[in-house]
Amino acid sequence: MRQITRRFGGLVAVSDVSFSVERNRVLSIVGPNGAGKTTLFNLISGVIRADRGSVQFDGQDVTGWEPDRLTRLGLARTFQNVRLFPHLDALENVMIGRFCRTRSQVWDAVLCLPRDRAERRQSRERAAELLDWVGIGHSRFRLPAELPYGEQRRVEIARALASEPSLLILDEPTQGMVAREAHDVMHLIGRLVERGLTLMMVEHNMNVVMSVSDRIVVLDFGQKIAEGPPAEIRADPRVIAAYLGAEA
Amino acid sequence: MASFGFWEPIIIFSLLNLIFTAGLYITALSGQLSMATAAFGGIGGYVSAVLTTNFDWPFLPAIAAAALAGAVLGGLLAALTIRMRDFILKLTTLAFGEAMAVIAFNIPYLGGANGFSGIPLYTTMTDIVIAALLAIYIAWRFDGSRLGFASRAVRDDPLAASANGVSIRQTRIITFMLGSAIICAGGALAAHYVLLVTPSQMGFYYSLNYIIFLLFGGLQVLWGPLLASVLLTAAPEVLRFTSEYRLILYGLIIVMVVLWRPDGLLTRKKGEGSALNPLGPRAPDPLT
Ligand SMILES: Nc1ncnc2c1ncn2[C@@H]1O[C@H](COP(=O)(O)OP(=O)(O)O)[C@@H](O)[C@H]1O
Ligand SMILES: [Mg+2]
Repeated sequence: MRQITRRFGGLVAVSDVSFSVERNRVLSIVGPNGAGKTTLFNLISGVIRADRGSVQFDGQDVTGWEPDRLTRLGLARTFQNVRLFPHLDALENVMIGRFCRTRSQVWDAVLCLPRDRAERRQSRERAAELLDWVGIGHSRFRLPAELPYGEQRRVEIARALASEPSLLILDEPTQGMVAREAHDVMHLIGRLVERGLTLMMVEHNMNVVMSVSDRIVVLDFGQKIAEGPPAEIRADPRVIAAYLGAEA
Repeated sequence: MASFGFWEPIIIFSLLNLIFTAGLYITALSGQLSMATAAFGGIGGYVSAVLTTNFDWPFLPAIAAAALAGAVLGGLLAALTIRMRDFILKLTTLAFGEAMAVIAFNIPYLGGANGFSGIPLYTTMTDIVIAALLAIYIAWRFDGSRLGFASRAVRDDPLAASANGVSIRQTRIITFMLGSAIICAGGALAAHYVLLVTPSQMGFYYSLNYIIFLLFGGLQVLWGPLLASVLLTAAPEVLRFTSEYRLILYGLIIVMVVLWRPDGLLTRKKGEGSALNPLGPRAPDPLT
């Protein structure tokens, strides 16, 4: 049983928000632009520090942990504005995700010890498999700049999966994708949940959110204004007001 | 080994510079463009000079001690600069180098401004060739390793690297330690060839040479800077340039690089169907 709770105060972007997600469930965060969704993900993944509040992961207090330590513990994420390593090709980008699951040290590499050779081979193979799985195995030797935006997003998802996360955080995974591509990616995400992953995501397509989520948290101006299963959220007058207010 | 006459010093200095450049390449792999290469070379030289001259250490253990000193100081400098980025980090390594030179200058035991002299001549052409091959081998193995790629990720985007499980601290400390160890070992070899180590040779003016080799060769491919270090060391000597002409040559080279190849001589852009492609087509779905 995993409980993630987060409280903040002081910070305008996200204030006093608390919620939790259970193992193998999908939690979506929705809300108008600037509501604080990305900031919330940055806080959970350790990219920025909270002024107040705490984060629990797998029953452990992980407040203030460095992002790399959280990744080793099983938390992986993607970025709203894709952040691939520009000088590494797609395959090498995904191999970076294997870093925290491999052990070989300087001397292993210099002395060509078996551990180094085995890990190099396994990392390459695993990364290639993941790229095939997200549907862009053909682009594995392309640099990020040579890839269309949608493919870059998929490389990033593959890179996150390479670290064998138990919790995957996706910030607008289908942003900038054409409908067909977005559909494919949501299909892949659905298969991840079938295999036991816990998912937390920001997504603007309400049809998608309603169909894949177990629970939805609604943010507005940094505050949680509603939380519940899709059917409940759809009917919530405050949510309707916030959305109409933001988009009218 | 046979005498190389006129060529001997040119070959030896080219290969010494290649060793220093290999060390700087490793240091810069995680994004730390160190401006203290010559300072680390000097430290290696002093360590080995003192141990062999005053304590009768044999050559090999003295080189090992110099490398160890480099690893320790490099690790400390990396730990100190871990949260710094680009400009401030460069300035700090520069300040570190100048501080080391000032310290050496003020220690009478090390010969002060005149430097440490009376160092035994140990380094032979054979030694330099073996050491250069070893430095190339170590740099090459590290470059393609798990830690090497993690370092590149940190250099490209520290935040994304960290969010994908790479420790910025670990990669920066390891690259600075390994790079500085190689540079200090090179400094020891140089000391037992030139037979003198001085504080002035540790200054930024000399460190700048290695940065030029690195940027001219390109940060992305090991062979670029290594090639550049040998070419740019040997060419002015072979062409018998005086030192003023050398500066003009460097200026021209920098302008040429900036204009035509801003990423350096060699880059690692690959394409589909490249010879570097080690994998055939693969079956889908890894999660089953
Ligand atoms: N690094 C930052 N510095 C200052 N303000 C920020 C920063 N990041 C986000 N904000 C502000 O916090 C608010 C929430 O932003 P964000 O979390 O990106 O919203 P969302 O992802 O829901 O669109 C916005 O008003 C944004 O301008
Ligand atoms: Mg956002």
